[in-house]
Amino acid sequence: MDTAADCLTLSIPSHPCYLCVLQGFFGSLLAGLGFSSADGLQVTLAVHEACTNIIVHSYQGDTAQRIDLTVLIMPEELAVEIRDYGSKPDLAAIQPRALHDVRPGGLGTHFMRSIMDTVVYDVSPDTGTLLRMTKRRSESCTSS
Amino acid sequence: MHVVIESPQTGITVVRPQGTLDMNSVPAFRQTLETEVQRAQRGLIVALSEVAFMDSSGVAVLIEGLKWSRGRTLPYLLTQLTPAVQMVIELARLEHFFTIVANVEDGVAQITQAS
Repeated sequence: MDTAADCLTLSIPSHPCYLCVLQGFFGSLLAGLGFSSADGLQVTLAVHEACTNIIVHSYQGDTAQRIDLTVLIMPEELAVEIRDYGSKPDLAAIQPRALHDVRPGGLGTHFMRSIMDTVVYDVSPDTGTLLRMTKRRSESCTSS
Repeated sequence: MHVVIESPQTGITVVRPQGTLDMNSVPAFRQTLETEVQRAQRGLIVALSEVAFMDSSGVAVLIEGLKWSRGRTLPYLLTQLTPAVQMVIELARLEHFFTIVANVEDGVAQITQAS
């Protein structure tokens, strides 16, 4: 597969019932790109958590909005850009909770930062937020 | 999300969720788990062999289940973790927080010894 600057897009409604689409989309894509099943599961989880946060925080449960995903496949890394059009996050408040504080909630941000190499929130658009996450591709991936 | 409830021995409940444990399915599973924790008399085992994908809301409800069980001093075990479930529990560094057994039979034996 020629992977230089390939770009895929996916748009899903902001309803939790559509999050399952991400598993099929990213599972197939990442396997095709040569990611191991473990790495593929992790990247899918990071994207899933990001979209869940958008539904809960940016759209505050409004299921009639849209989440646009763009996947950029580059020779050395995979970039996932996730665009929403809801409330902008308070960047100072986006912190993973301490893991020793075992309680429900607050793990999604920890997962995203643990799994991905970079996680950057861009709040400069007039409406909403662009979240960009990247993951380096291993040698086995780049030869696919 | 479908949840199978089994009772391998009197007073011991096995809760077996099937499919995806995420924001969409967790509210229904949470209700089932809470009901079964209250109903179980000797112990509860959550068998996860048919969970193909789990996110942070899934692990959150497993934590809640443990806390409800502790409130009743009821043994609460996890078993048959799929790679997707194992990954999330390890990312959350909860592998020593939960009691994880290899299979339902081991779980039943552990509960029987404790009761």
